[in-house]
Amino acid sequence: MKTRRIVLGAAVVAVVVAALWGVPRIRRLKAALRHAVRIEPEASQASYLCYFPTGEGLDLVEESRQAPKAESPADRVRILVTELGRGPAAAGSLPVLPEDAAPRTVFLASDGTAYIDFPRSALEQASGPREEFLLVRAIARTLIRNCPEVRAFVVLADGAPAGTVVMHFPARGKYLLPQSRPARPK
Amino acid sequence: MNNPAAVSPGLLLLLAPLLAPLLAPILAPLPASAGGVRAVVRLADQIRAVQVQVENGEVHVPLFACGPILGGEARWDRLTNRWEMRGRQVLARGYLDEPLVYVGGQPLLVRNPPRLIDGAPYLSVEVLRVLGRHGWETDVVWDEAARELVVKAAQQESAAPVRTRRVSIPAVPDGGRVLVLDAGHPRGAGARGARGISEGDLGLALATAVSATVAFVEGAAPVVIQGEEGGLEPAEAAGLANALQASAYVGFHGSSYGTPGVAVWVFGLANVVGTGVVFEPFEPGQGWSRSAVARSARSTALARRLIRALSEAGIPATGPLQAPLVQLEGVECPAIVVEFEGLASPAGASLALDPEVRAKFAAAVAAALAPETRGAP
Repeated sequence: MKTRRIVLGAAVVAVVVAALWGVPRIRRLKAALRHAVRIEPEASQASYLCYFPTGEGLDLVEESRQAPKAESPADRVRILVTELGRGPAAAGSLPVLPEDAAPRTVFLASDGTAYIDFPRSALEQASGPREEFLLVRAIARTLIRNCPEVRAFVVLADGAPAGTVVMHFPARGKYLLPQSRPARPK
Repeated sequence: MNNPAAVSPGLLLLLAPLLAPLLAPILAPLPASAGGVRAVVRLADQIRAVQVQVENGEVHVPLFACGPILGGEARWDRLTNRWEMRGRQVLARGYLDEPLVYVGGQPLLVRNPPRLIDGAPYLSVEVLRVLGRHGWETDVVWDEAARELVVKAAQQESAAPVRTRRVSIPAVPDGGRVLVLDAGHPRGAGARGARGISEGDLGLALATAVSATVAFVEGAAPVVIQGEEGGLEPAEAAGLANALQASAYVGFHGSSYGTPGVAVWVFGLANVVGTGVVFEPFEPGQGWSRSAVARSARSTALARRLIRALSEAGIPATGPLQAPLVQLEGVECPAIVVEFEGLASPAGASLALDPEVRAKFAAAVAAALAPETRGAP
């Protein structure tokens, strides 16, 4: 009788322990499986449109790029500015940023302002008003074309606004983008 | 063994493997964030104790302890998660879990944002350091070994812009209306071009040539200024022009890109790099840049006269281009920037260095400026 009671008690404890131990793990396993299903290799790349100057006048030319699919609107801004830093592929187009200049981080505020934080070294290039005009224009056009959520952008250097983007265009303010763009479908 | 509460050692041994997963979290050492770490804050001649939290290697200080540490009043809105720190002359604000921190109206990005820990708002030491550097002019340092947060008056130059400093005013010829000719960047600095040309050297050569020509214009008193390395900033050049009550301001610049020729820029905030793109300064309304906008009509008229004169002289000219150039911001008189473009190309460099072109250019600028020198100074 006593042995039966002990065995029965142990069985009850074992069931409770197994339930407490197992349920969270099963939930985590399910979540991991759902995540694994989401990351399909064929969906990891996306098409973007980047803009680069030609060296003639004020015009920019469009370049299609394949880059990692963005996880969020802020991530899309980061990917696009990184692509601008990679420079143009087409002959005749000109870079707007030093080679491989990439933002340290990008934060998209709830009002649609993208804060693009470059390492200071990426913005320390010898540049005249025209080059700087084309840099700001290239960022603006690329964001207008790819990021309907972005209403404005701010260029930061090492986390803080510098006096100028490089030497001529101001960085202590927002570049507001046209509001008449169609909203991105949710 | 008659006591029903008694458990035999054998039973415990039997249950041990089953109970282990349940007991493990209880028996494991506490994570650093669970109880916090008692730290010392050294504030000049004061010492305070504060309970900080360490998460992922970053130290977080309670928001409401940060007020006395920096010298300010801390607030937190539980509903919106908005926090703020109000000092004597500066306000810092932001939202928990957001890396964007506004200090004195300037946005700053941090890697370790303010956050909620155990139901209370905390600032990371990184945020404290940023507030100290940009608004409170203090250095905040965390000494991991001593568990000490040291707060002291900033030793290095503050990252915040210096508000005032002395700049010597150049000599001005008597009896004339002052025309400020800003050679722009220091010698050897700025954009580079073919044949060893630099924006700073070109700017000085152009400003000097224009000065010599303008000196013959009736009633004109040209003054050439140029930034030196670590010296004259654009805002200081504007301040000089304003202090001299200049009748006009011309800045001389150059670019590697573009078609060989001259572009003329005026200050503007709308349609700056494309249709519908507007620059909105962080400064309050009616501030520094608004004073330049107020003179935009006269600046545009000056730019148009110059473009016409350059075209008549056979020098390719485009504009007026509108942009919020810092060189024009704050100038309280008609103001333009003249830019030689395409310096990277041999044709662009040749145009900029040609003595005959330079003489024609100086004459065109003098002609465009002439209406600004009429009348008594």
